[in-house]
Amino acid sequence: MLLFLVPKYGQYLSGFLNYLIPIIFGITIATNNSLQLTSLFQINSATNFKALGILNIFMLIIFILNGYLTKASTRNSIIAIFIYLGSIFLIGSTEFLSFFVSMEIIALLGYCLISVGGFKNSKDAAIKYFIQGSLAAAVFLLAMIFFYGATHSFNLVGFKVVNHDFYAISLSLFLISICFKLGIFPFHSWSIDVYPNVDKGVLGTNLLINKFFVGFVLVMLFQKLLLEADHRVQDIFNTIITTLALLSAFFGNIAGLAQKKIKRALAYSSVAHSGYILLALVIGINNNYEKEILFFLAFYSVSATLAFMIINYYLQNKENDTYDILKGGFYRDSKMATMLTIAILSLAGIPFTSGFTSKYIVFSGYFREGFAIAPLFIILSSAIGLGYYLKIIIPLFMEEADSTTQPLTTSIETFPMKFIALFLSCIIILGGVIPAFFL
Amino acid sequence: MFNVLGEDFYTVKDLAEVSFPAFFNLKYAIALDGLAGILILLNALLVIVVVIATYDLDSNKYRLYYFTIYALTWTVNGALLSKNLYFFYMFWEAMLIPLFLLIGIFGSDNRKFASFKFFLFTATGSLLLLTALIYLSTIQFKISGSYDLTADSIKAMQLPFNGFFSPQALVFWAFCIAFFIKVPVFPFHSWLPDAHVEAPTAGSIILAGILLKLGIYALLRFVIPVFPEAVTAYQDCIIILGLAGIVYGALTAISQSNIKKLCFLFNKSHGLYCSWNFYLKRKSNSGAIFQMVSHGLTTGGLSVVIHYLYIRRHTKEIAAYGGVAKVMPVFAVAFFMVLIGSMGVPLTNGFVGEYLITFGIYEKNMWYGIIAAFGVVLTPLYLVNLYYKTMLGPITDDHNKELTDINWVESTPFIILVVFIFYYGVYPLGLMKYFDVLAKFLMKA
Repeated sequence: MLLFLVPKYGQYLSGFLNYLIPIIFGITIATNNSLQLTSLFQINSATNFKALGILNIFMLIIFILNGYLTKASTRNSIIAIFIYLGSIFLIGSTEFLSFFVSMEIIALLGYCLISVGGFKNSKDAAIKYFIQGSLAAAVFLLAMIFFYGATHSFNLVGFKVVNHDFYAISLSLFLISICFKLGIFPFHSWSIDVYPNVDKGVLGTNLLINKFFVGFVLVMLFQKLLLEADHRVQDIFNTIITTLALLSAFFGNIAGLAQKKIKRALAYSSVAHSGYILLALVIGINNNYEKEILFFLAFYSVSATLAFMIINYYLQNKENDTYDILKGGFYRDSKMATMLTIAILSLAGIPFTSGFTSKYIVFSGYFREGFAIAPLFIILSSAIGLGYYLKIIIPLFMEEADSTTQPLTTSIETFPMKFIALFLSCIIILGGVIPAFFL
Repeated sequence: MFNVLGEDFYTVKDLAEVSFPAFFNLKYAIALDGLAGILILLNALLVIVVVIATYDLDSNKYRLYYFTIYALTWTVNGALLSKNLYFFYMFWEAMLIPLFLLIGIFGSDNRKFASFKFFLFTATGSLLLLTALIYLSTIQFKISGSYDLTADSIKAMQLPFNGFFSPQALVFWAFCIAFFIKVPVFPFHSWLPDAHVEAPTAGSIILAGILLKLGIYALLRFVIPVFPEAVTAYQDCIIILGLAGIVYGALTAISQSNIKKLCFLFNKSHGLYCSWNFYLKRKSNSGAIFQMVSHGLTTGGLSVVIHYLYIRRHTKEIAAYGGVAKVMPVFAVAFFMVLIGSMGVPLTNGFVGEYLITFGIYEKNMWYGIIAAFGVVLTPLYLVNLYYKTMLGPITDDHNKELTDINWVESTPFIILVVFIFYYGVYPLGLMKYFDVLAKFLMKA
């Protein structure tokens, strides 16, 4: 019976299974307080469970975005499931080898997924990301070797530092690979190509899993590792991280201002946001700001996904995403334009959106830990960034559509995207008005 | 007459507390005092004026138009009613969006640049305020374990003050610059002429009538009673900025050829009223507050005047008009009434405020008083000149012969405003007492 059904309805069946898997995982995780498979895998922190819960919701969003009508969407969903599994193993890893393997599962499948991103330059972006990502993986391996030399083990729990020099080298190599994964200033160039050249579920996978989840896990890990270093090394790292964060924030905002294409500008905005969150590596040393960092990263990913998604909708499969494509956007499709405005205001950090509350929470954390100068400069850099966010809103409302503007066509395929856009914009507003609900 | 505003006027009374779950033990508390009460009423009055004056809106985007106006009203009222600095900031920044859209969508030719500039200027100022707010919140968090930051709790912190780089001075200047940009005080004013000239009438009235006053309100609520040492140390510096603004505004206004730009350079005198509040703190700034309200009414009137001229002739150049009074007599009378209110002719509301302020400044420092009086004297010079060039004399341009006079709907805003202009001018004391009583009444409700 099943054999007859599979060729005909296989894609629907796999689509259904796609939804089922995160639901089952979600229920399993939600009903447990601690989860341990082997000594290599255990989750017992409440924040980690929260992160997994958010990941489940995001996974459903990615599946809905992928759809199940075509073979390509089914393939994308299956790759996304493996990335999802890699993420779960990543957060539960208690040891460096499994950590590295799960991180590489996410990265390798990520390269495959980007190459089918739906745009002309997607393959170029995938190759660029792949080459740079391999280098970053090599650096990560080297960091692991020095870590072994420093602690005589690969354990991430309960290790003792024997050789402090090796430990410092290992930390600095980790920092490089973390900077690469987060897209911090000198290591950002992959993100400028990747984010503009992917669409729908692939975009969701990139922002909602790679940016949010992998970013969160790496920041948490580095905080834990930095805690074991001696004070002299900690001070040096404070300086390095603060400098990188400031450079990233300023570079992202200034370079974004100079862009002629919208999606590249938003990609630079992601560089700036990575800078804002990198400072959390420093503040987390004595006091854990896990919840705050989670809140910030989750809401940044949601806002950015929404913005990219709706810009792709206005782009209508064209390649040239100049600011002109948004001309008269509000008068062509008022609902989508309103939602795009909400996303952009959230990225700009205007009140009543989650972008404001998340930045407020993280920056007040910086001030509470006694850092005043660096956050002050970061807030100033965000004033520069306002420029390119406004450049997106201006054509939406203040210009009229002309003959060069692409007419908007809606089909059954855009329906899931519109549904998700509505859901995400409601989440953004809720996070801005009642943040305690999410914290 | 200097001390008609009693202590009750400034005492913030809680109206309600909405305990919806924010974070860090924050609660949205609604509170009101006499000052906020006046501004809320002024806001309501001006929105009525806006809606009546632009009743024949020539645009198919009318939904967006009324949405932005009401969103603006809502955010302004939200800011006036919030007791907590965090929620005040939220509304303060959120009100930029509807005004940005209002100027950008319904403004004149150069509207995109003007709205962009307006947003960047004010939002950058707000970021300074945000930094100070976060800094104060963290101190408050250490004291009480919550981010609940009101004017009283900031005062209770007693931030140390010794020189410019002490916490109190830095927070003081961060607050001041954020609010000065909104007011605007002299060196921070450059966004205002652009925004005003390009804004539609609704934008101009609400911007000049309410939003700029909100800057003064914020100074009165969150700066002047809160940082006593810093206010004493820097009040001279600030009043010099105010005086420079009034002289600069008057001198540049004389040479303007654009009606709207001319009328709104007159807003620069704002800086003076606002800085005057610093000088005497709670005593005898009744004049400044009175001038704030009456200025809202008269600029509203001037904006309506310009709107009626513009929808008939589609130009804002003074040279295009001349002798309009012959074809539009009712309009000319209404314009004159608003004009004398703006100039501060005795028996109008403008006189009371300007007299009180100039007198007060003179009493404190003779030279400051002379400069302030100089600014006050220059105001009639350019306003009378404007009236003479546009309304009186022979009709020079043939287009002007076909102008129609205002109808009864169009004259309604003038009737509302002129009644207030003369009533407040003749019986100012009653006005202040009335608002005090009103504030008490609102407290009970």
